[in-house]
Amino acid sequence: MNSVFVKALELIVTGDKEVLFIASTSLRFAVSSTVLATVLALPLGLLLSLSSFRGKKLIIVFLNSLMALPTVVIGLLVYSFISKNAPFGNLGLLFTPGAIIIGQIILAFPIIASLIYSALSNRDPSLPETLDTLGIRGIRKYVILILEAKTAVLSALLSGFGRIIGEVGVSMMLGGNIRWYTRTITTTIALETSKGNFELALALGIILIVISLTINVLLHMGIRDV
Amino acid sequence: MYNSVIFRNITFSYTGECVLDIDTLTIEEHRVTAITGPNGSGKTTLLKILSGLLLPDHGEIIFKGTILLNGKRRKILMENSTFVHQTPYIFSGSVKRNLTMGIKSEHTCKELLEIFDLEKYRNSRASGLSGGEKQKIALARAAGMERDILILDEPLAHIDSESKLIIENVLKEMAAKGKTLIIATHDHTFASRIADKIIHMDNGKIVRSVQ
Amino acid sequence: MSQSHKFIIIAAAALLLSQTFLFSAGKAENPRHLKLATTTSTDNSGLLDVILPVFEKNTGIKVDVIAVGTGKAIALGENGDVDIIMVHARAQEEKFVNQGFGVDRHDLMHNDFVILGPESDPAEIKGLKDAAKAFRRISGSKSSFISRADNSGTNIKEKFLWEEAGISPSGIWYKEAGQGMGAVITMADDMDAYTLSDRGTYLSMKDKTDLRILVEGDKRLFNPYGIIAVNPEKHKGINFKDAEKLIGFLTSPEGQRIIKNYKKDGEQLFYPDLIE
Repeated sequence: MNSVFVKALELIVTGDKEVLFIASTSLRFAVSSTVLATVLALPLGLLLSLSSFRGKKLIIVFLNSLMALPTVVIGLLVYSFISKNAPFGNLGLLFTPGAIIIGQIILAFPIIASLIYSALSNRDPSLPETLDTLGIRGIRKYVILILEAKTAVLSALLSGFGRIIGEVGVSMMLGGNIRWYTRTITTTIALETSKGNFELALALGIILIVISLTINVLLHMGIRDV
Repeated sequence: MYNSVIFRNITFSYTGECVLDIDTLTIEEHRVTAITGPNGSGKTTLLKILSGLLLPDHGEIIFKGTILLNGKRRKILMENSTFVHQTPYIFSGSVKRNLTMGIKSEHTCKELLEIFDLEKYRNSRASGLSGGEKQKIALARAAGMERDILILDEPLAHIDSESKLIIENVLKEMAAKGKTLIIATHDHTFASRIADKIIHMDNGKIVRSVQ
Repeated sequence: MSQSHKFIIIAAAALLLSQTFLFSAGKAENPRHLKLATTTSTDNSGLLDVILPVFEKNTGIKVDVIAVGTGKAIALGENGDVDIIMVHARAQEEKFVNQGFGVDRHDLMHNDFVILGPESDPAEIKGLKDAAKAFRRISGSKSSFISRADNSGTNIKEKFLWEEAGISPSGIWYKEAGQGMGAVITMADDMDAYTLSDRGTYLSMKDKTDLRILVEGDKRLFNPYGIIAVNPEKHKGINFKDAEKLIGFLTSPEGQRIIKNYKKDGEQLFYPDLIE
């Protein structure tokens, strides 16, 4: 067991070129997907928390059940849309970073939207009225609603990020685990495990945890100043 | 004397139950109107309709001589009034941020901090202050909006006597400057000290109106 | 600056950042990509990491290797999701070409399969020259056998050998793993079971497993690798031109020599088909 940590440390400290590339690829995909999923999820979360309309409950139930969707199912679903003969086949997205990011957005969107919705609906009910009576409307109103719930919104975002950075199904299926291109930490772990390189796989797992931890700490520290 | 807002046959129900039923109510311009009554008598609902935050189910609202059409009610009432909750919402961040939510001018902000004796808290985290300070912050925030009509829900409830004194004085000054004030309170002596007209409510209805 | 302004600026910056990420990720270093679907055994052997950089350097074409089982590699070719396939299941490869999905099958290289098992060898197959007989003994003694069961080239070969042995394997001794070669070798090692493996993967894992080669040398254990360009007439946007270039390179004397000289721990993993 000890040797695993030594190996992980060694990989980080010596700055193994391929490990760095893989880690940065993982991070790049996960950050892009989280940001894009959040951009899509914020309006929905705001809409759900601000107004009541027919079908609102249905949307919430739907979002909650989508959270449990296995990554391979999302992978398959996206594959069936971007495979050569599929509706979006001519875009040539399969086995590119774009495909992974699409899959990861679908993976993270329900969790982020649903958590943003609960973050925003847990607010003091007098907040929207206070904004109205202070003449704050439009974009600024929405921004303040989000800012007032920033810690919970951040947790939503981080949950989405966590689900993305740790997933393997979507990246493997849609990215193809292509070396120097779409290979991520998790697909490398799967690959190395299949080759019997358990130590290297575990070392990469540790690197994943370190990345995740760092991002969480940095964001939580950063949010205090916003 | 001018009439600022007139209600006719206004009703409002909440989850099927009628909580407000007002035949007629006149709010006079540049006057202080106090609304008294027990808890649950419909004071807060009335205030929220006056400030445009709630729309009545039925009835007519006349503002400065014009009947407000359904679609315009919220907008016109909101633009001319500002409402302060019984337990005001305090934004995250400093007292200064709370004051400048509605107003832009640094100068006004500075003045308000002085008037409400809040300078020492200028950069303090507002949500950590006492109930009295929070009420003063909310009042200062609303006062800074410089709307003609100021609507306050129980501004003196649950706060220390020092803050009470400051708030009462500020309200008197505002009244003297010609603001239209509408204040819900269950403190009758406060009502009689400050108001030109006292409206007593019970069970969603106006039961008495004293000039 | 007010908080909401700050928020908008941060949000915009994050969005911009993610876009640059996305863009740089999407563009990669090279616009010319050739998608090659191949088997995990080929990829795990490390040969591609040696031979493809030479091709990429010569031509500027970036080869994206998608390592899956032979069955899935062929399916990806049929769907037009890759430009070229390199697999080891001759009958399926010929079917792929005959049905018009592939253009031509080119012999590339070969090695062989081996039957692996624990040193204790409960089925007593060590040294047999007849793979079918070995399979009969394994099933007869109900010794554990792990099957890839993933429609890979190795799995197809295994099914063929069971047929040759006249047995349709079933029972708790026959375990269908549904995993890649490396994982199956690890499982067999843990369970003291027999399994069929390509020699290359076994050699690459030799120091991590206690399994031994017990049966080798049967002609039926021959493991030929073929390479096939996907038919551009079946699907739009197939990179046929570069696929042809890759086939040309791999079957050239230079490519074949690299295959011949590729060694792991001093052992040759693949034998080129076109040079001695």
